[in-house]
Amino acid sequence: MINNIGIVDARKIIKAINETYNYDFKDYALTTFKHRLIQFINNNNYNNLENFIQDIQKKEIDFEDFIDKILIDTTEMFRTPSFWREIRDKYLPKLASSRDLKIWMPHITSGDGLFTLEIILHELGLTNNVQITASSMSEKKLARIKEGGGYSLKKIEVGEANYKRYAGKFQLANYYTVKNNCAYLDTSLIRNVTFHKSIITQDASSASFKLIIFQNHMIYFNQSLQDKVALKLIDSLVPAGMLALGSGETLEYSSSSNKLILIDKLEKIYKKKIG
Amino acid sequence: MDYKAVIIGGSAGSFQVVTKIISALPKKYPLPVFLCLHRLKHIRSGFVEALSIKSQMSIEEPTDKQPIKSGKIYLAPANYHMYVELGNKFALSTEDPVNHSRPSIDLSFESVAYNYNRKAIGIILSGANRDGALGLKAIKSAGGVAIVQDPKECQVPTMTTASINATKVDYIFKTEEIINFLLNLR
Repeated sequence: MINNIGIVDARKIIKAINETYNYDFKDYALTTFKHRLIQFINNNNYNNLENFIQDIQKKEIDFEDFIDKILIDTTEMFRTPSFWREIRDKYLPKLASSRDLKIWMPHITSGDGLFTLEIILHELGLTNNVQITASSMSEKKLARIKEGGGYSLKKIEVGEANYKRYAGKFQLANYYTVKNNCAYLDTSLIRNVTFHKSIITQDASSASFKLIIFQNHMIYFNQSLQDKVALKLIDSLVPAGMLALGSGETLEYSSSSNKLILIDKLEKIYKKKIG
Repeated sequence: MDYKAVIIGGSAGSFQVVTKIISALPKKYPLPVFLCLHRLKHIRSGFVEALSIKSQMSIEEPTDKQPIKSGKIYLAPANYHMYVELGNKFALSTEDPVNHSRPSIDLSFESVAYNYNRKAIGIILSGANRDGALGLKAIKSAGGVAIVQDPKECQVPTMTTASINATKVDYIFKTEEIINFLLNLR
């Protein structure tokens, strides 16, 4: 059982992964990355790090499984209900009125945010006015989301409570069915979504999105990767397009913060400057 | 100063104790003070304001990657874990709750132990569950100072008792003694 990993060992592991699989995790936030790494190593019954590193080098770990487990996906549906109310009341009706609203949800992990947005659009009757692009670097995560999530009932319970605080039209239970103790959201909700497998910094950017929702992903990157990702997101927005982050996140320390205006301080909604 | 940070963990019955402690600290206290208190996740505002009423130090909920400064009190924000990250910055996370709690006292304390080693001071106050026991143990194992509020004085002694059972703490203090300790650090 591994209880902790020092910085030197963490860097060795990250280097081995990059050399073998060409995925670079060196700019992930260290504390949270180490938590997931330790979990993965222990769940795969490694008793020492040398064996783990050797197996990486020999390509003997299931890498899709590694990507799936290393990405943190423990958010909630309708997390921060006040944010989603704001999106529903203040922004979506105006943005979607022209029938060509393009929204990007990059780097999705659990699909919580995606299904939340889709339920809101459904209740507003706007699903067909909106095209959503959802990308993730994990094939396994994408497959699960396409099947409706398969969320634990405990997680759904949290989502139900959040949905009530959000003050939705019905109940969350209207949107899912339970099979083998897992909740599957109605996949007709995501009929307007194009899914992509991609790494966010390598995504081709075209300035075409009016809204990018990227909540509680930046926190898993260090400042250098946050800067790169912020630039990518800004490049992907139309002028005056909006970027929503998680309530604990900020672009204040980012090198491209001067390209945005913070229009909602509490809910962390930014607008791209024109020109 | 031999220390780099003070971290205080508390739950049920700790609000008044925390208020008392922070109101005794001067405006330019030479260390940063982290507060990891169990709180209702959907109530985001009001807590900082309530704590600020009697505090001379400024109090805020840090955002992710915010630099840590001495003389400030930082309260773990609702529904996030709060860590100290490389480069003396904060990191937040939405990882699973630990001991039903997000923020988790154990996780915050562990990251403080990892980053500050023997220069960390951890204090566990009144609370109704076992969160914080492993975190305080991590601080002690890293060579830091482990303090618990005297269970006899706690409104709910579960958390402090669990901490005392988990590690050989340095001090079991009443609130006034915690204050004196923090004011007399060298």
